Amino acid sequence: MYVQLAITGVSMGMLYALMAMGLILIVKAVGVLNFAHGQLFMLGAYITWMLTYQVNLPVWGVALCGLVCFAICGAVYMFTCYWPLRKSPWKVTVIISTLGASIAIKELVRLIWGSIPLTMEPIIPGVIRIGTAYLSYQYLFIIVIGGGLMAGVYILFERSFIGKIMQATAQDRYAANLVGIPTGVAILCTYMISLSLSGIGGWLAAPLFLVSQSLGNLAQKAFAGIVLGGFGSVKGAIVGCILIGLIESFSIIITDSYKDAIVFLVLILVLIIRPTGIFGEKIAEKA
Amino acid sequence: MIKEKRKGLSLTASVYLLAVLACVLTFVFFPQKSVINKYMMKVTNEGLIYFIATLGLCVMLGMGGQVTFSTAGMMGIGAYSTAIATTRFGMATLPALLLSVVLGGLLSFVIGLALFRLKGSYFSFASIGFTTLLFTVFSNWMEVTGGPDGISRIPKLDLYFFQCGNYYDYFRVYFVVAILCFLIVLRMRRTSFGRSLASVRDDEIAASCLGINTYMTKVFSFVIAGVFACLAGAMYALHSNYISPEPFKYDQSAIYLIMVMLGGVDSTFGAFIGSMLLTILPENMRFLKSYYKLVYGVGVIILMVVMPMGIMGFVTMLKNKLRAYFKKRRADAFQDETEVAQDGGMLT
Amino acid sequence: MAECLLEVRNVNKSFGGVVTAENVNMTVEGGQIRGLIGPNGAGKTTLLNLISGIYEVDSGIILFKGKDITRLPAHKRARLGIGRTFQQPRFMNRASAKDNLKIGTDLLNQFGYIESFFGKRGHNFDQELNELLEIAGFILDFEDPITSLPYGQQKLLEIVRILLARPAVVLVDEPAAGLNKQEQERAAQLLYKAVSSGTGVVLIEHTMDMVMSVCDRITVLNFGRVIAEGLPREIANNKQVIEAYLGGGDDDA
Repeated sequence: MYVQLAITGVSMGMLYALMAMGLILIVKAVGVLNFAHGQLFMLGAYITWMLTYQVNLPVWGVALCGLVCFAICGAVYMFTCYWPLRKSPWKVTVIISTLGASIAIKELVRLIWGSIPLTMEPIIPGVIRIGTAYLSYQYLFIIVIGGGLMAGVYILFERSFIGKIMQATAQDRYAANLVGIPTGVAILCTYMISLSLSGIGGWLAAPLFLVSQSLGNLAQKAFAGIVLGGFGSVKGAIVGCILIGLIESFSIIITDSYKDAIVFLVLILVLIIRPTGIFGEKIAEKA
Repeated sequence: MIKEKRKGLSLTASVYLLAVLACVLTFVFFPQKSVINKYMMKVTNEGLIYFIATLGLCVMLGMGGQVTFSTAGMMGIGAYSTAIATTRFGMATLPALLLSVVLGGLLSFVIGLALFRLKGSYFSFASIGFTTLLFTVFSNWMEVTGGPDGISRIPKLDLYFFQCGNYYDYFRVYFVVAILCFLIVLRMRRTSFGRSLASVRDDEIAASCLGINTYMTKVFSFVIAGVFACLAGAMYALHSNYISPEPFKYDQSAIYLIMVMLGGVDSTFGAFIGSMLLTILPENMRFLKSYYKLVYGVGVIILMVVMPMGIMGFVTMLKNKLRAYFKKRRADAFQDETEVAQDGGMLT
Repeated sequence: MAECLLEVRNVNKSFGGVVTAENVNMTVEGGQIRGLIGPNGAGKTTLLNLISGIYEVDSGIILFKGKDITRLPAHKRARLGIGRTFQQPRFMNRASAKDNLKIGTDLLNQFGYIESFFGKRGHNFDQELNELLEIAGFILDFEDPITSLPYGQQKLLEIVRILLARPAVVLVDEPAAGLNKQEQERAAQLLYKAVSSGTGVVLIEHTMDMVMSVCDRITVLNFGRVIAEGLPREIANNKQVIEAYLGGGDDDA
């Protein structure tokens, strides 16, 4: 049973981690939080559902078209929520703007696809038997794909040119501009990749949870994972999210309905004991 | 040299006077069925309740610059503790309300100490977690909170010298409470706390070097926000004699944030405008039917692009521009510096 | 009575591999202006940050009026009487000049928030402010937003703000940068006023005229190390100092 819980936990953690990675990319690139991230995750689930059942594409078609759709969404999102506000001295405006976006996206989805939750078949149907427990293949699939995506993003960032541009823009936009790096393009890429990660996460999550508007709430766990793992560190966020997934999974032993509460309680306790998170470092500001 | 201050009633004194006048008038004359119907009175009362909650948020966000999602959660604490105290323990309504406010203050203090170890947006994330935690407890702790069914048959507010029988009575009381809270926050702005909080918002390092304990200042602002939200929640419970966990999700906190931004993040009166507008306007927007929320969401984005300082911020900007314009005209017209100084400020 | 108000003893600080302070020793006496000079990147601002408490020292101690403050957080040091200004004026940008200056008096009064709410009266703000503004030499419209004031006035106001708190020691970071000759003179006058009431001043400056005329003693830093300490004319003739500035004497402000 513990094995099942562990795998479920890691799997859920991977989903949170995908969201978290997308979130941190945006935070590092533009310096503000995207509170609509959960809804974008949900949007990913809906879009892939649409591609699978309404456009009737096979799996690889869904993957391809999905990526294209996510990239477009990323661009649209950036141009509406971030671009007009990029010069604003108040970070609050961008945050509130993303709040508005989250409301708008949720409603848009509801208007297009209705409020009744939709079902989606897992990509690899069937279950695997481990000891006395049954585990849907989807969970393992998520771990594999999630891991693959993370490796992919790592390679993109560390080895490719675009990755370098994005890193430079994230670290110091002003300097990057001076050196001639097209920061606008870099930010656009960041948004597109971020949305793709969340979107794919949504696609992976869809068979496990029904495709409904409440999928967005999963983002809160991703937030918790980021805080747990430490400030702004992508590694930390991934580890944090997987931990959160495990905590959530194993808390079922104690209680089922309070698992959300337990996750956040643990978070608050960790904050009291170690405010910088697991991997965080104290950031010293220049005076 | 400082320019001479204007003679006569200062802005603050006039506001206080106006407020007292408004209270007296309201209590005596207004409202009645002929002026406003029962349903709109209920909605207006709810607007006042949200106003009090957003006042607290105004302190944290406007003065402190911290985005928090804790408002809905703390309202829930206020609502549920009042409801439980009156229905389960048979407490009278006024002591129950005061008790919940005290509880709320204590809880905010403890949680604030934990949450403010985080900076900036990470704090906001954690506040979402806190509110979700509370919501989970509200929705699941059947024995105490009634779970998703909530708590019903909450008694009406009884102020010993005045009983609230209908929505109009509630308006009288809540209006006075709202005015009091408003004055308290106005006063806060002019104290060392207000200034310290604003320094922390604009430049934490400089604030520390000026002797401000940034951590405790932020915690204090969180407590204030929590107390106001708790009060609002208690008022909410007494007003609608039934509560359920639904209004206390973190999504609702987002709405309060939007109310503050709409009114103007720097303005206390803006919180009033924001909360009243966003409570009363939806009633008039029914023609949008199912598109309402979509328009809402898009509207928020447009608002942030076009008018990020909110309605009051826009008004202040106009005021400043007028001031600067008239000042220049005066400076050009009069050569003598002393005369300019003697005139003092012109437009306030 | 030149009481030693501030003493920095064998302080070390490095960020990653970069050593910004190495065995730094410095004293500040009451009523005296201690100049702190050195080429760019020598670690002068870092030293100020270490003293005000923004950075923590790696090793060494800092004594204030004989008391060890090395482990005290920044705001406590400020309340004990260590004030400072910054290279770029750091104000509350959305507030009026009045509110910004009142923070100085808040630091002097050090009331709790509750007391302040109920209007406890402290020191007379207006009179002292008038005095200081006369020295600073301009007329201030209280209600003006701070951002509407010209840069020079903002820099002078920063000094005024911290002087309102009557600190025992003031750390002043390049007050003359960006100021014209007249304003520089005003800044110097403000520092003299501070010194006349027994305050100790640490002055970072690049404008050599100002440094040589205003300072009582000077410490010279280079690469985080103290390479010279003494009277202005000693420093002016010090070979090492001149080399450090690469043939300098008159630096550009």
